[in-house]
Amino acid sequence: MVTDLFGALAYIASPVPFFWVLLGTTLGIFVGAVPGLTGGMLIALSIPLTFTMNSTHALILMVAMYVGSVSGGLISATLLKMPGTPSSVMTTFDGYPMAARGEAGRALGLSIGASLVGGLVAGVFIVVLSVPLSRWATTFGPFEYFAMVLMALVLIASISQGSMVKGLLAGALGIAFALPGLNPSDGQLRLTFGWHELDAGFDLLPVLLGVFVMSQIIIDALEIEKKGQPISVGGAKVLLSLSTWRRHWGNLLRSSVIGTWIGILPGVGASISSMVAYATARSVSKEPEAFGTGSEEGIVASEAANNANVGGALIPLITMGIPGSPIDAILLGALILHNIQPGPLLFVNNADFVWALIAAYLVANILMFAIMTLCVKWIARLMVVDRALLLPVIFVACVVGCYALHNRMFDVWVMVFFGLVGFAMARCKVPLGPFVIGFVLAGILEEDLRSGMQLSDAGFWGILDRPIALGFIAVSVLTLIWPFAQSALARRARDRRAKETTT
Amino acid sequence: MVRTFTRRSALACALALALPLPAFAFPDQPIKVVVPTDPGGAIDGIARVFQKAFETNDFLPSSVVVLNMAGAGGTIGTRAIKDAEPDGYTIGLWHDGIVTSKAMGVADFDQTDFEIIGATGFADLGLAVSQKSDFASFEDMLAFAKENPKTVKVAANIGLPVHFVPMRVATEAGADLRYVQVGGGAKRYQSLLGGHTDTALFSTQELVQFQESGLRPILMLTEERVADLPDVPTAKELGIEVVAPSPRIWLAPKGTPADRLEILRNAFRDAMNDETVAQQLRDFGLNPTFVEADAVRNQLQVALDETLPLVPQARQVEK
Amino acid sequence: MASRLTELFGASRTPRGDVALSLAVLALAGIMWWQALKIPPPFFDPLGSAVVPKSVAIALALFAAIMLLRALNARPWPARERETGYRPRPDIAAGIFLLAAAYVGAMALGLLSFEIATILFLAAGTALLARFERRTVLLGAAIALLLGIGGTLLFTHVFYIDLPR
Repeated sequence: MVTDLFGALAYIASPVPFFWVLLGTTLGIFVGAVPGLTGGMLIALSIPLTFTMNSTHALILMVAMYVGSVSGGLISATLLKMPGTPSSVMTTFDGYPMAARGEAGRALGLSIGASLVGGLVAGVFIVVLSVPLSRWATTFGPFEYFAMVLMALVLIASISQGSMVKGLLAGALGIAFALPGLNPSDGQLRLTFGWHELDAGFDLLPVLLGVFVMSQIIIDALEIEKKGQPISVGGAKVLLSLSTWRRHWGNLLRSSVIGTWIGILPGVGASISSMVAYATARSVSKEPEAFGTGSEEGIVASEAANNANVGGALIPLITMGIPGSPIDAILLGALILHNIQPGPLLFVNNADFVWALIAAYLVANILMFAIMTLCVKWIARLMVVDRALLLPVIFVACVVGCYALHNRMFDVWVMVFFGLVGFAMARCKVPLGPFVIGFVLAGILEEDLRSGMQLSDAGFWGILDRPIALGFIAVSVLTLIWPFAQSALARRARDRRAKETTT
Repeated sequence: MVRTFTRRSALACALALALPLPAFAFPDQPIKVVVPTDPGGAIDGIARVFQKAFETNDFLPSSVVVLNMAGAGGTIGTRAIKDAEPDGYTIGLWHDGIVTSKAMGVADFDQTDFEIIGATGFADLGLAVSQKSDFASFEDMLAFAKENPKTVKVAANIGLPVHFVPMRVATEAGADLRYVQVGGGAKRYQSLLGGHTDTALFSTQELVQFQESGLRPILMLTEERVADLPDVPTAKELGIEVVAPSPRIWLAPKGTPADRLEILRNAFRDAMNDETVAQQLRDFGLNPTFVEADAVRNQLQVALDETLPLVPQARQVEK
Repeated sequence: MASRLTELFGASRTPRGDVALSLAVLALAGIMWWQALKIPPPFFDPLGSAVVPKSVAIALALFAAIMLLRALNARPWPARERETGYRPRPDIAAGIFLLAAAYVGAMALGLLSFEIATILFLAAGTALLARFERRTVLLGAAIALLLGIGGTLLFTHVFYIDLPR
């Protein structure tokens, strides 16, 4: 294991792979910092451009972009009070007030350092957990996969922002849009309205580009007059002393572990990690009232957790082929387009490739720290680039990417259509995460359910013989019932109190 | 679609009048090879042998891109080949499943809806179990299956040889097995290894490869024992008259110009004459001689005749 | 009974959008159910290809109904929330979408080549998003020319991507 890791690190240190990791991290930080551009956008767009690239180079580039983009958001969150990426929302609450009172350098320094620690802590978990987890996953049969996907959908739907029913709706919509076309279990055509262009269904890439990029273009156009004046960083020192870090080490470690574990939960993204870590940090803090007014602890918790989440979310992707976050769903699509079969055998068949990804993740975190520490002032200037110049170019790149997939305009129209769908969902506050995860996992859900039912005379009830699958189902059911149970318990407590006061 | 086609042909005519012929040297852009399985199976491996051969030698002036389109017993991929622009830039690699899919009702097209480029040899097939399996030999499994009908699980891919050939073996031997939709070679391997299914059909190359990583070949469906697996008995030795060679067929969309097909055929013939390619194909358990289109058609007719009687049994839910 | 339901599912905070959304989802569920009726019965596995689409349609209808209930529970509906700090521009959002659709349409119908269509789209898109502010429009036009011609060369000769003809 350790030799594998060092071999992979040596590979990443060689010129060509190092160049891709450096490029990915830099681009990631840039799109992360510019409000209105997201990491999902960048990674989805780079899939078609990397068609002809060596698959290892393509994927280490995308992993580096992922790391960079989650980190870059902290700059605009701190200096503009706008989260550059959704995952840095929590950083705005304390980063901006701190910057506004003239401590911009210190706020940035805390964020950048916390990001590095979060990323590296998660890296340790990847290295330690991946191999045993993938070994465990090789024992998973159809019912286990079916139940795990179901659990992933329920988890992400119920933990997403907004109401639970909208999360579930988003997941169901994602599955619904994955159904048209030939189904992979018995080759029957369905839900195509006799329209042959739809025989192969909606392709993953146009759907991703539509909901992540096209819809964002429409949203950015709607908010085109939203502009901010960034706070100047000035000559403040971004590199903080070790004594500062010694004060925060408990918080750093706790938030990183929270971020990693939430990342491992299939489907749940970085924004939720940073929210949970932030809330936890506030509840154990000695000065909870400082949170939201420029608390150093708040910044550290949010940024350590969202970077740790990136690493945590890679774990289910490389060990089981189940995306740990919406951006990992894009990476899963990239794996498939690069002819790499995701799943527990990835470690058996493509061990070098997986270790290269892990090494790229670690190196990207270190590069991110170096780039941000050295160049944060320049990035702060770049981040107010005029979106009027960028958005049309981004749309053209989407069109080319979709068309290149099969040389047909149909895929471009699919992208435009899902742009509208994504925009409508965003306006109605329906979360995009469950939609994308549902779309990507619908195939596994149905195929494995149907294979599982063929395995025994008992049909679906054959699942009763599979304890792991039953465990996953139990978690899903509990997750669904929990909010209702919680409100019922609260009501009973209230009634009892009311009775006590009357007596 | 019609519009772009007429535009393009009008342009082609105009150019043909204006320019000397070399402007049309086929192929002048990468050729897409559709492989209807996941990466990692036997068909995928062969496609990649030729991809590499065309990249490193000058059998073809342009390069080859492999596109995996798995699902629905390969019919998602074969349909994509059928519906591609017939310009020689999209071709595909498949096997005798092209006729059995239609017989099973999974697809509404068969080999007559394609141009056949030819076959790059025949692959031998055989059954395997996991090394952790309780069945030490095929006879063990057969005895158990006869006593317990519909309990031995076969990992299959609907409507393909890996579905029908085990069924032929079982019918000949007088046993009734359970068939489960699992998918391509890599997935069947994973399913056996995880203990979810009991046995599955693989090509010789897959058997040799997976033997090192957890599978045990138990029966070969060949005339004689295979050199790479000398300890594995043939079905014939056990009195089961099933021999199932599977041709690796290169397909092009119907209407691909004859001269372009001929250029592709020559490229394949040249590649197979190359000793490295021939050796790689032998490693895949293939006999490295190019099989002409007519011979392939005859072979497909035989495969269809052997399969048709099994179809009612294969459509297991109707009964 | 009604109050129990209210208590169970809560009330929506964005009732207007939710009503529209749930009606759209109900329509989608209906279409799915109708199309799923045409799928042939199972012949290989016990479940067949129609069960999952039908269950998803039922789930969608159920979620839509809950959303509708939550929206009704929220009566009287609160006043529309206004964005603070900036003015939303639905006209520009619609404009950029229509422009994008026109760009794709022009290429799909074969009216314009990729190069020409891209130059026109980039110039017009930038002008619209910059709200016709002179300096940006000129800069945008220059970038459009550069990227239209350079991009075509880059995509065809470096990335080997086929472009719409």
